[in-house]
Amino acid sequence: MTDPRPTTAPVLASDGLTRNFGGLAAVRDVSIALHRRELHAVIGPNGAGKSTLVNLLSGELAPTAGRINLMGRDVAGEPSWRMAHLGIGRSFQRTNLLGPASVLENVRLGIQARHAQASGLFRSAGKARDLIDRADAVLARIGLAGVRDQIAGTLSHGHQRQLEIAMAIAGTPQVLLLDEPMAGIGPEESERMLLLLKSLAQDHAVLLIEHDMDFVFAVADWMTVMVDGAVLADGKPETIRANVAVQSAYLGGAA
Amino acid sequence: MDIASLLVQLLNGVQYGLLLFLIASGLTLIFGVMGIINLAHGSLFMLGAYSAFLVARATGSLWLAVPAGLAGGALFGLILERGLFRRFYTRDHLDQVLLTFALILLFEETRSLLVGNDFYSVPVPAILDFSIPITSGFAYSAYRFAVIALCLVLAATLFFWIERTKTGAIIRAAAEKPEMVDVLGIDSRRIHATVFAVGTSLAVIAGVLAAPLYSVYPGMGDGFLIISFVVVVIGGLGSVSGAFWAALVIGLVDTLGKAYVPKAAGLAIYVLMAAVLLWRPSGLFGQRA
Amino acid sequence: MSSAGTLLPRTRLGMYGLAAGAAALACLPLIAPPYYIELGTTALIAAMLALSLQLLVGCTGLVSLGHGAFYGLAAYTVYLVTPANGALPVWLTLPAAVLAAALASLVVGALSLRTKGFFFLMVTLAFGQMIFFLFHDTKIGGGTDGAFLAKPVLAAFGYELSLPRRQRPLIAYYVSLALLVAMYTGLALLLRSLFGRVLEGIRINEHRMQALGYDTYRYKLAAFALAGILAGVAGHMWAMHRGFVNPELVGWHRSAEALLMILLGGLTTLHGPIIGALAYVGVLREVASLWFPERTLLVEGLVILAIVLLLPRGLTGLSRHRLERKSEPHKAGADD
Repeated sequence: MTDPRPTTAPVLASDGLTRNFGGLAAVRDVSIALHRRELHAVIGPNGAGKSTLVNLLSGELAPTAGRINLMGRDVAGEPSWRMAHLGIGRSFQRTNLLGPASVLENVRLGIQARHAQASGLFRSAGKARDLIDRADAVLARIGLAGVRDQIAGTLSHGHQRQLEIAMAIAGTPQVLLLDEPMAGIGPEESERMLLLLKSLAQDHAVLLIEHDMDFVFAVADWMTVMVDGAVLADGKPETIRANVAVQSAYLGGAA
Repeated sequence: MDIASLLVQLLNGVQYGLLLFLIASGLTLIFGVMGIINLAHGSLFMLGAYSAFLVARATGSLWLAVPAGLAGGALFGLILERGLFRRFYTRDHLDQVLLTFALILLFEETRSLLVGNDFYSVPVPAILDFSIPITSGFAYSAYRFAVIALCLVLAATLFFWIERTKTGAIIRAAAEKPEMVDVLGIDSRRIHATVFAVGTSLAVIAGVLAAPLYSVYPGMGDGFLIISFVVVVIGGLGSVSGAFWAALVIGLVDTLGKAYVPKAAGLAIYVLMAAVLLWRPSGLFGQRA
Repeated sequence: MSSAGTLLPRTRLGMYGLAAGAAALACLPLIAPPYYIELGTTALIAAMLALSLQLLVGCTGLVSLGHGAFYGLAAYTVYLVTPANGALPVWLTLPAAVLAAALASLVVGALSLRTKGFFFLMVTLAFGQMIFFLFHDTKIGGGTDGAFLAKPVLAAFGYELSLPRRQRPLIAYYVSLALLVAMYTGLALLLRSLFGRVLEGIRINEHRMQALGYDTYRYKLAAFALAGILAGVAGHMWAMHRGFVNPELVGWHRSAEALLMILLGGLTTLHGPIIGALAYVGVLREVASLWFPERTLLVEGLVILAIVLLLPRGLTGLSRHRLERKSEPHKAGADD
């Protein structure tokens, strides 16, 4: 049984993606397609290879085999900074910020990476109005305008998770890879995060890794279930919920 | 060139490479397990060479220096680790560099205070002061053979220790994943002290063995330190077997180069290092950069 | 730490302080005897070297042990281009020296920046020593003893600044001071620029900067080459000041000393290395050679040991700086 997918070409698609660590296949023959305006959740037990998949798609890791197609070009094996330039933004499972810099600077650097001309040797960062304005706009959208001038490392955990997302969208990517953006945040903040994710899915292709099943089934448009590095099933949330194999392999045990 | 002289150079290269291995293996182990860079490792080699000189001058023979070097080196390493290095495992690279730079200055000054700044030659032990004929018209120094043999014995012991014993398994684990050791509930302080003592001991004994071959002179540790770095970079940081093969390659390239293309020889090993960096930046046997 | 150029003084008062320091240095020759003017010039040149290295260490987070090689190479270049029978004008020697340092640092940087951390330390050290052995073991630069050279003269467009012999040290002092001030100002502007912010980001968290879209290798290489060029300016000044080169100028002990000056003056400010260099060359080493003329290295070793052992870990800014560098980004793919 296969659910119908959007007829437009996917923004990002992998084909037979594989990554071995030593003799171990962390990701095995994964084919996945991300579409614009679609929130695509990847679920699976710990060690299923979800984060490795994100690291492959974002260029942190080079695949052992397989292809990655980003808007019509083969990008497998490109380094992460090139992936960012080609339109992939990502957040990290473990908060990964520029701790001693201000919130604004964290986001501004993300914008500068893609939108500043030349090397910037002769332009004062404090006077780069265009970059600062764009950073302020991103902060406003994510709901961090109030802590704009604070030092990133001193933010509350919830704010740090939000800043992760702000940095991921700073470079105006087409694809957003969000690796457990809600890890460790409270119920009130997760309510806010739900609205944020839905709004992000309006103008990005979003891949979301998340453990909270109620949350995932509430937001996802499409789901992929991974077990032992391979895709066990994919489809619409209803289909996944009904899938017997998924239930026995994952949902039954974990939920 | 004739075959006999080529053979001599090959043997010299192997012998030089094995001495380099004794220095580089300690360097790479200490780095791999403790994550500390010891610039004074070459000075430990220098201290070994001078102790050999002093022992030979006092007793008229080098023999005592070998066991004394092994034991004294281990003890000295233990003192250094307990007294100084232990505080620096979690410090910045910059602090570690300056600490060990200070030690170089202090070791050299101690040497200068005790022995002065002259070159001294150290006599080869009388019992090995002859040449072994290999073919008609070609003979090779018995002492160099003995050095090769002793280095091989030490290398084999080291490999056995690391590959086949429980302590060795812990050391390998620690070099790969430092947090593993704590998880396993092993007293990492003991492992650190042991590794440091072994590394120091190997550098000191390399100096003892080298003394009759290269004479002893101020700053002799510096040259060996740099070459050992090249060995470690080529072999891959933290890899003892990598250090072994890289040391042999460097020993041979440097010795043969100096014998047959003296003008370019000094550069050869650096060109080799540059090539390895271009090809495999984490070293030929290294797992991680 | 604020985000705006963290290595620069944060208040107007700090800026005035720096300006006052520069003014005091400019007044020194009015009261100091000639010996101390020469010592001052040596200290200012050391400050230039330390400041150029700070671009790598404090700004970008790269600890290089090969930096002295570019300094020495530049000094040797002055020797190599100067004919035996006469001095050349600086507008010929300075570009030559800087070009040599730039090319060397570009090649060494391109290779060594393929590695990180300790590998980087060892590789920069090894390549630096390669340049050292080039001058130490061959005759191209006078071998182990070094060589004298005719000091470059201040001349341009047919005019030559000719001075009585007694006043020449004074000129060297003021030229060094002017270069140092220019170098500091240039680096301060660089730190405020978009480029400088990227270097700072790399120091704080290189992994994240890559994920944001920065080809950090290229930025680090640019910083490495720029630092090499500035070290070349310092090396040229040395040749102009002393008229003598020897292999010690190229050796890695020079780099280690420059690192010491940085640590002494403060890792977290751009002006720290200048203060460290002036304190180390102008005061510490001088006192040591007055009191223990035979054992300066022993004193030096003990002083360095004392600094690294006693430098309080919790010093403002320094501790946070350390923590930041220690919290290495997680290994990709290892944690799902």
